[in-house]
Amino acid sequence: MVPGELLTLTPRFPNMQELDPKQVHLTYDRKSDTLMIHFYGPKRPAISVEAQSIFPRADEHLYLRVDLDTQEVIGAQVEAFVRAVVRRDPSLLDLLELAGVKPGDVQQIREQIAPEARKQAAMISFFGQLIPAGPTS
Amino acid sequence: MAEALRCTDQWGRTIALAQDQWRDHILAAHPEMTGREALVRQTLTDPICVNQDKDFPNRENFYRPFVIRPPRTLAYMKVCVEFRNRPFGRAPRGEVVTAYPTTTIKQGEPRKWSQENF
Repeated sequence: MVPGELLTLTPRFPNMQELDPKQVHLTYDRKSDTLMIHFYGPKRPAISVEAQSIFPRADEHLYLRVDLDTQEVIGAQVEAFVRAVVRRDPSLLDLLELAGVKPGDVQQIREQIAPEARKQAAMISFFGQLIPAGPTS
Repeated sequence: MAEALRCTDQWGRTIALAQDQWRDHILAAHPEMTGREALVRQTLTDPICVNQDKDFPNRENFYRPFVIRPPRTLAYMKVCVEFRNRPFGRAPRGEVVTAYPTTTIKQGEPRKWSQENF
């Protein structure tokens, strides 16, 4: 096998408030069940870094897209997005529409999610929005 | 279905990568994969380890280290393959669903096989 040392990175996050929404690009690939979020458009090469390798409490399906040269986080990759992630947090279904999935298809997925999970996500979102540093933090 | 590649893994299973999936997902979402077809093939035919995917029971993840920054800095190529069983005892057939470079072998994935020295 190839001799060498494994790459280590110290990813730097951009200021999310300063991202230009016109540049943020979302795509969803049904076959692999992957949601991609590109902060600066989809053309920038990067390496996918398992978020849990940096933040132990991060969701296991999340990868950060890190520019190899600048070590800047330029996006995110979420695996098993429909199969696992939105079933736990149905509020994330909105991202599918932003990624260009037809509203009818999103509605079909929504209907497959247990009402209890939808209710719980709505409550967390409700209080999270109205009391940002409150019960959900 | 036009194919970007087709090969056989160490268990005799045929694995194909559809041209559409290569172009519309892998290259579109991971521009760093441009020109990496040979590495995808190598990862499938000579991996360092193969893991069972945690979310999809019919998927396996193939990993192989490669030089991402010469001369000696390594990362892993990860290739995710979805297998379908076939009738009459024939070997399952696989289809690459995604492939990308990553810094780690994903934690918590059940190990199916690994090289002896790994």
